[in-house]
Amino acid sequence: MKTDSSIILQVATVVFITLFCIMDYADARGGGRGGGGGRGGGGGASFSRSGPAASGSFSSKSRSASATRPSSTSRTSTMDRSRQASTSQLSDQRSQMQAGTGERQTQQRQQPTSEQQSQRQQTASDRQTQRQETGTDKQTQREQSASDRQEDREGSRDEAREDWQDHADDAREDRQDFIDDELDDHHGDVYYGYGYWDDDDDWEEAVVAGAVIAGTVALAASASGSTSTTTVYNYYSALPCTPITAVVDGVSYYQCGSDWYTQAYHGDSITYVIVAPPPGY
Amino acid sequence: MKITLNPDFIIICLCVIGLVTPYSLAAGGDEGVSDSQAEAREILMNMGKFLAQTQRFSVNILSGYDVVQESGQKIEFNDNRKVIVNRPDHLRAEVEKSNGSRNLAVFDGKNIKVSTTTEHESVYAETPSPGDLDASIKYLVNDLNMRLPLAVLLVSQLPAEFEQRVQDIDYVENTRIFGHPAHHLAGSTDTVDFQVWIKDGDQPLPLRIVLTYKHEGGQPQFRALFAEWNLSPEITDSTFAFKPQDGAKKISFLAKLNEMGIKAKEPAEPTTPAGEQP
Repeated sequence: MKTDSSIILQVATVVFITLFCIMDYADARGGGRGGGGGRGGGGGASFSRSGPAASGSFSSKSRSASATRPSSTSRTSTMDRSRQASTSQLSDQRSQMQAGTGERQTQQRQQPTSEQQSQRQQTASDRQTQRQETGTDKQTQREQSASDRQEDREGSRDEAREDWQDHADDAREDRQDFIDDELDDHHGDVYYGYGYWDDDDDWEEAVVAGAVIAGTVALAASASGSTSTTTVYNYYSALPCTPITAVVDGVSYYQCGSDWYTQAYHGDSITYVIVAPPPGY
Repeated sequence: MKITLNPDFIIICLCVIGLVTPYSLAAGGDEGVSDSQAEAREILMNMGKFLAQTQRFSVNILSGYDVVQESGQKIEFNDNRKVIVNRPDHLRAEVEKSNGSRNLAVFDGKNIKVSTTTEHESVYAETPSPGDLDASIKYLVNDLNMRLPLAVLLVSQLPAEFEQRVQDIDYVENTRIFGHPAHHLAGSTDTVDFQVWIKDGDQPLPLRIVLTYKHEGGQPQFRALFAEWNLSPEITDSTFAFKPQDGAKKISFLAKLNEMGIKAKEPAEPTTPAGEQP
């Protein structure tokens, strides 16, 4: 009897350990999925809301040939539910723009020297690290006293502004290349003034589908006559700073560093467009 | 030389012609359109004509659309939209988006006005209407680059739009949706596969639509359910009135910044490294 009991006990122990291991494995897998969900919640809704299906139209810009090529707006799309962009979000946004530009440059433009490329990558990496550190600093600063926070926030804004300006200087050339490419590739996307449709048959295709975080739009000042001037506007879904606000002729302008922005509708979104300084500024 | 035809040969030839001709007409004489395809096209066009000729209506549209994320995962976002149309030039589209944002677009015959209210702010914009409802819808979508899902269903040129866009269509089945007998059709345009469920009877209204963007990565879909069709809605002065929320900021359409004289930031002059000739 003792022997039988011992065998039963041993078998039960083995079965228990086996079941425990299986459950633990299952929990681990489930935890992985749960982690994905947690990521979504913790990440603050980083899902993109922009896509061709948002237009709800019976046609889309993409033909079969362009199926593998994202549109100018979807290239940089990342949903941003908050009105004030965090440093990391802007960092992502810039990286995406740079990535998009880099891809195009690889395909269509003369390759920079490997040394220059290496320097750019190093610089970008340094800035990324710097921005992450700035974000960490901000987190720590928030835990300090109110008077300290005030000073630190001003310092942080200065740092963020400098980062933004530094980036803007470096990225301007890339963005200009990107814009040039967009104009080359999307000649039909240039939006003309009142009452002119570039292609009435495909009027549904023009819609910008959903919220986008950044992009460019080229507007023709005049479509009449043999000449027309084209202005390129850069826009973002959020400001890079806590701005100084000025209202001129009923239009609100927002200043971040040396850049001025104004709000405008584009697609289904309210965007911040980089504009020239308002009169008197 | 005299040619003599055998009477039996003539009879055989006539029989062959008699057998082959009807088959040819059925198969190729009508460009290969089967009965079900012809029926589907007729039902779709009847819907188009009916909607285009309906002078006023209201409908609630519950729609959802896929957004394919960089990871490949599809995420659906939803809108709940109430649309009121009063031809020739009035429209009201009130939207509640799944993120809580509320959008309003009003065409009052003179102006196009839109507003957005979110948790953080309220803004609005307006611009003169270029003409009737068709012109205003096209202007809103094509020139102002604003989003108005299923806009094509609202224009009076809908039959012509279908004629131009729909390449193939066929009848899937007779079914029921929301308790109504309905025709389930499946068709395609150059870039979109679509399915539409059209109410059977003397009011051929769309009850459901599914659009598949077949050339886009992940083939995202747009889906819409049409509820509470009303072909004689009560329309008062307030129906197309537009009153911005208290404290709402007036902004522009990006596409009209140029016209407003708001210039883009001038690009910085490129700096020439020392020792190099420009």
